[in-house]
Amino acid sequence: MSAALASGVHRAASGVYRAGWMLSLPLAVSCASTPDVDPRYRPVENVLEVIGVLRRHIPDDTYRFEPAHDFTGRNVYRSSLLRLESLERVHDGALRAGYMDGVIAFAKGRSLERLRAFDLAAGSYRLAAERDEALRIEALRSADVCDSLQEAAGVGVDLDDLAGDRAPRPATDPDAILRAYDERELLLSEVAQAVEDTHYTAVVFEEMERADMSRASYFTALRKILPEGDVRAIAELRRVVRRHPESKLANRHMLQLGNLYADIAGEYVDAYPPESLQFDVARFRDLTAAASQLYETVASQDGTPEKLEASRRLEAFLAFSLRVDRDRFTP
Amino acid sequence: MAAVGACPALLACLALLACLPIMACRGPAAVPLSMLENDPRLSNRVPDAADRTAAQLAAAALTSDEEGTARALRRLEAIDSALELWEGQSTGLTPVSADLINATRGDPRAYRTATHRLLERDDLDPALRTRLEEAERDDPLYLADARMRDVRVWQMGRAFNAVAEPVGRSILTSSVAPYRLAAALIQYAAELYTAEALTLQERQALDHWKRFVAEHPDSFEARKLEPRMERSQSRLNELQRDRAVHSAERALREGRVRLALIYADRALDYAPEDPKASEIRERAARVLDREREKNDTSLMAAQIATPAGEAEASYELALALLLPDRDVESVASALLLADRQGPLADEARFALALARAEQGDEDDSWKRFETIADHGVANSNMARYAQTLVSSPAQNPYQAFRSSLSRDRWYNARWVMLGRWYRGVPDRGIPRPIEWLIGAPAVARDIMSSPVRLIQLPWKAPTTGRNARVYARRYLSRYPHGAHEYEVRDWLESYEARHDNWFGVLAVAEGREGLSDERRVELRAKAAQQAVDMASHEPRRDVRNTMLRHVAREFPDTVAGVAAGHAARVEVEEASEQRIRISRGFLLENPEVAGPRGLALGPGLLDEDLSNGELHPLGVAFLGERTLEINLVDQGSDEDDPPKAVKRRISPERLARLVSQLEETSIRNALLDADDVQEPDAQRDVYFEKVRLGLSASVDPRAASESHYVYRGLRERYGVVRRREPILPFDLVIRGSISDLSIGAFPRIRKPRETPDAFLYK
Repeated sequence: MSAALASGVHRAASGVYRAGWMLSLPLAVSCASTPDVDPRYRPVENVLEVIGVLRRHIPDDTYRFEPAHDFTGRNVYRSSLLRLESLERVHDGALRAGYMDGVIAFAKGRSLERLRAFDLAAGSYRLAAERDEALRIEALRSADVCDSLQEAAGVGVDLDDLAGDRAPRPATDPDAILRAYDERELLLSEVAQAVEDTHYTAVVFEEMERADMSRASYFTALRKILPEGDVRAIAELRRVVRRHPESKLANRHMLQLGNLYADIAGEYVDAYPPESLQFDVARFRDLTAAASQLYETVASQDGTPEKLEASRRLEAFLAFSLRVDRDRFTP
Repeated sequence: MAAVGACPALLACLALLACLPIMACRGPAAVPLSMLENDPRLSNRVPDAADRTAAQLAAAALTSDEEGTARALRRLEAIDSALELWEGQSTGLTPVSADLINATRGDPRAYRTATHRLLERDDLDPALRTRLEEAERDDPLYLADARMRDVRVWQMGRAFNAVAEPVGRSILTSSVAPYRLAAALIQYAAELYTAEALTLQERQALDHWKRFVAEHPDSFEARKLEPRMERSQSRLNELQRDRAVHSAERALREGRVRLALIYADRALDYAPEDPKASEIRERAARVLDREREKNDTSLMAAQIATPAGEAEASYELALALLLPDRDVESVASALLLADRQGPLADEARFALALARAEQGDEDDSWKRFETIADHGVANSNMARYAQTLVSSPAQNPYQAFRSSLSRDRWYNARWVMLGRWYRGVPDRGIPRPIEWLIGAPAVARDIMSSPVRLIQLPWKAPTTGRNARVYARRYLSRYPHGAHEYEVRDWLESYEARHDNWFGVLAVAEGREGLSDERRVELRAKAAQQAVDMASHEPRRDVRNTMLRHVAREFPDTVAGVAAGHAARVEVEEASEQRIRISRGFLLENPEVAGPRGLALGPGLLDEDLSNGELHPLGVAFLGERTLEINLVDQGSDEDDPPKAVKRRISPERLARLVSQLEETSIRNALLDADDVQEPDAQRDVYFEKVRLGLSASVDPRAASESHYVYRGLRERYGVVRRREPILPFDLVIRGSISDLSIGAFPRIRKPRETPDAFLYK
């Protein structure tokens, strides 16, 4: 909204407030006044406001850098989507005239694909293609990309399959799972080639990283069942660290690897009490050295939230090692 | 005849043999013919009556046979009395046996009482006495009393110091004594006011009392302790509540509402219905509700319809913004030209700024965003987005970098002017104005000494530039060839070079277009050297070797890279299972380890005579399995030069005896001298255990099982004169100050030293 119009609206609002103030003066003695609406948080005024902000962040390399946040601290793609939906609801009648339908659907597609809702994004793009001829080609192209990403995301065990609130899939055949992950990687590589030099490159890289993370999580979840499970899980997490050094999640990957070492160290102490004859000093030292080194590496990364987490975890891990007598472990 | 004939040949041989040592002694130092004496044959010891009785006593103690232990002890006492009468020397077994019997008492208090009685004897071995004293002190009540004593000493000491220091410093300037005294007393009062409800030592004491009561719930002392414990526990809750409230207040002040809520809840856990914590909680909850409300409002859409005339322009600009091949600039410019004050003018300006950024005109783009931001959120709906972009260190790292440098300069200037007060007065929970009033005299003094700090600024500046470094890296990572690339690269290179991080310099420089070959070569050489230095500090041989190989692979064109490759190869060739070293100093101070019952080192090696061979100060190292490395002063060299290392394998029995002797000696030394501690080392202990069990043949090749422990003599550790713990509880301080031209002397009571487990109570 322009400065002149905004100041006009503001002046009018001030006039109304002044009048209201004069009228309600006698009541003010006993009642608290209504708080002023902070203009920073006023509702969105038009579609361009949202699309302008979205456009700024469409080319963002969200694989390497954290997604941007808006002035409320929300993920900018999510807040854009919510604002577009509000605009759709409020201006339902006006928008039904049709001149912005395609634009809004297309913009929603751009937001949704960054939130990993590829199926919904593809639907939005198709709607945009249907409603607006000018957007048709690009919308259908984007819909195809989103379909491919959705297809790839459905192959193999994903992170949400391993989350606590989902029923675990029967997955006791690691070879079959590995084949599925290979297939997923192949699909994603094909998409990556097709979308080279577009904003989708970052999205595809994020998906590849997620596939690697899912694979590592799968082996981490099953490490107590599969033969050589600990070694396999460590190798998979190391693979994630090695393959994604540029990622915004690189520190998080290292933290996860450190956590795994720390967990195994804890389990080792429970299984072989340090005072027992079976306790292997060198093995325990290997586990603790690996965990501490990873935590230290992350804790030395200035300007990242993982720095705090890693330093606290390191402290906690060293506190855990106090349980072990000094003649069995010397930090 | 044959015998006669043989004589000259025999004599010649003997003469040659006699000459060998002489020939070997030609240089200043010689490798001796025999470094270790022949495996000493120690005769089997035949147990006497005392040994047999001691064994019977041990057996009786293990089977809890009270009568048997008492009988054996009486017999030992009789043997010792007889020996003392006839030979003037006892076996020394009686006190140890008495301790063994005491240890069979189930009750730890009974054991400590018996130990106390045992300590009254005058025939105790000093090492045994130390051990018994330690056991006697391991009493919760004793430890609690000691901590409470520390509290009282420091309470008194603080009051004493508060008066003694200003008085002592006013010897020559007595006229200012009242002022100094008043200032010190105000400081003392502030400290008392802000002191926590329970000190660390009181918390330790409380913990010891709890332990005692848990162990002896029915004892008389436990009943006596209960009211004290209740008082302390209530003060501990008060302390926790105070800390939580203080943190909640600070979080609320800093706008971290969620954190304030958490701390307020924690305070309420310790003190339910606490009015202050409840008030903070309510305030924080109100702020949070308001924030949520505002955020929700910002996601809603206003009922403002786009004017009909603007609809087409709005649609065109939306298409331009969404489609990759559209010209945003021309559409936005046209919209702006049509009406610079129109309802969509701000959106057009925002789009123009976006277009400029995508064209690579970084500065112009940010200038446009700043202009929109400056309109203010009340006047422009796009200002809030522009403000977020401009102020975000992630989106606008260059601005963050510049701001960080400015902030550092500002802090440095304040530090020069105000000294330690450059960030304001400390937050001790006292109202800020009073805090400033209390600190005012010290602030004035520090302002006086600002010229000194101006000189110190280059090396003592309080800021480190670490934040600027983060933003500079972020900028180069996001915009490797941005408008400010060279400026940021120059700064970052010089920063990393100042911190001797040549890896960092190389990484930044390599991103620069047109980096000269000479500079690249120079930086690679320095980075490789830095990597080799880092590797040399790595204690684990596997990690070290990986690092060296990495340097050799990455920097094969540098001197350090070549050296790293060589070092990695040598390390692999010379790798050993262990590297536990006994220094020459240790062997000199502990002849029983060097002697026939230990190492059985040739006596000539420790006589400081280079002509018959001499042990190098590095001494002897256990390399694992049954191999020793004996470091000798090399021929033609002295002990400051690298040693000549000679490897020798010894028998398992001799190795086991050496290890036992070494450990016995070290443990005994530690009991006799508190400074001569044997530091813990798990890997060393495992290897020694293996050796003693006769399992030295099984080599553990894992790097994690290697120990680098060094047995060093006291003189090597502390020099000729050792610093002793002062007997008096106070220091005599002589202090002068340039800022107020004062000099004075005063006693200062030392703060009792914290116990090693103090960190568990902080």
